[in-house]
Amino acid sequence: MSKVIGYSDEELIKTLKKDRVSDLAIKHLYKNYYGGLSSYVRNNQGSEQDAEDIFQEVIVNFIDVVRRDKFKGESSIKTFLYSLCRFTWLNELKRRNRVLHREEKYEAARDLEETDVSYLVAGRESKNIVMTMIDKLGDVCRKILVAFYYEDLPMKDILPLVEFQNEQVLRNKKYKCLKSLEQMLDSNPELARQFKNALTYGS
Amino acid sequence: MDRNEEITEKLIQYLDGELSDNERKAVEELLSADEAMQKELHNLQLAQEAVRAYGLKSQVASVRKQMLQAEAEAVSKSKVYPFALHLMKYAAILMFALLSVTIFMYASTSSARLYKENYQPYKVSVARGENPNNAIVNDFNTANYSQVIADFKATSSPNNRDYLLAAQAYQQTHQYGDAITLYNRLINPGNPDNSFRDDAEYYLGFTYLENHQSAKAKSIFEKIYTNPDHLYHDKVTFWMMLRLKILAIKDHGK
Repeated sequence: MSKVIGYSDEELIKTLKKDRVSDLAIKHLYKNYYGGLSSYVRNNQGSEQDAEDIFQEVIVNFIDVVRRDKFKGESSIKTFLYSLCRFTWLNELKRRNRVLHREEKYEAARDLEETDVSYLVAGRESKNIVMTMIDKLGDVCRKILVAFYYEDLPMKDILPLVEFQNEQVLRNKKYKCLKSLEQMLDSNPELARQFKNALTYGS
Repeated sequence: MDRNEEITEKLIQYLDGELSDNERKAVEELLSADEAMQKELHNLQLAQEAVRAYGLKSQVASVRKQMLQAEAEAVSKSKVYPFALHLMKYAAILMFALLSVTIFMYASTSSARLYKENYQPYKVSVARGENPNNAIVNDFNTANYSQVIADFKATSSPNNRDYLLAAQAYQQTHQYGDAITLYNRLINPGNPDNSFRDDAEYYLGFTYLENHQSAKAKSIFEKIYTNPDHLYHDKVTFWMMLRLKILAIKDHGK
């Protein structure tokens, strides 16, 4: 197993803001916070898989928040992640119609004592739907689009990943993949609006 | 490619920063007057944002998968390791013991020590009907080795036993060259009388040892060790041979 570097909060924020998200920083988040946060989910009607899924969503959300300069450092990363985890899990429980009225009151009372990150969780459903849309584009489209727009790879480096004849064929495929996704969003303007709001965290 | 496709392609190139300044300005002019194009640009931009969000999610999932795999491998190894560790521990102890014995044997083996531990003086037996007043035999039995040599030299026709006793006398008085010559005479296959040949071989081995000719000593004792019919076969043991081999290595095959 590769060594996981220990970051201070400040170092971690600085690392996460770099062009490429560091795998080591992600490992650091798992190593340091998965235990506590996953037990919160498990102790509140969640399964082991729920804990995995919610923590992954929390980490993705946290990294995105940091990269968009929405994390102001008013609380420690640990406190922030804990709040994010609680709000995400509560939102998920609501979605599943499992939260009892009594628990909602309890959660509302607790909300006053901690960082309110509910606005960061608000658009999670629209995000999840859009992620499912990308899944539907197929393996080749996903590879091309993620390699180009997320990993910033040049076309010549993407070519061997999808085994296309030449860069022009690859370029055409990329065009079609992005256009397909654009059409999916165009056909569902309300979803597109909610997704945009979710990305900008309502600002 | 129809006009709509061309526009879409231009918009993607515009967003990807792949247009020249003039092309970019042209697209911006078109955009300012075309709401449908603005909407498409907006959706394309959103689509790219979605891909970036998807990329981050995939990266986190991939890192987590690697971590879980590494943890599973570590657990699996931790099950195999105790047995392997025990095995390696015992192997190491055995190796250490073997190494210690080898080092001890190597350090403690010498010609003098081998000689001292294995040499047994020759005892003369008098055959029935033989004259018990034989000068060589009498002087040998009283350990008067100089006199044995003198007696031997004075004998006009010495027999094989006289040769053996004289060789023994030379050996005891550290005249190894002469001793070796006489022993070899008895061993010589050309000698029709092979009595005392086994005795000569056995004691020649010790003479070589005393004379620091360990390779020759090893060779002759090996002959005795591998021949169960040899008179001295039982006296040459495995351990004696092992130490002779070590001695030959130490003496660089001399």
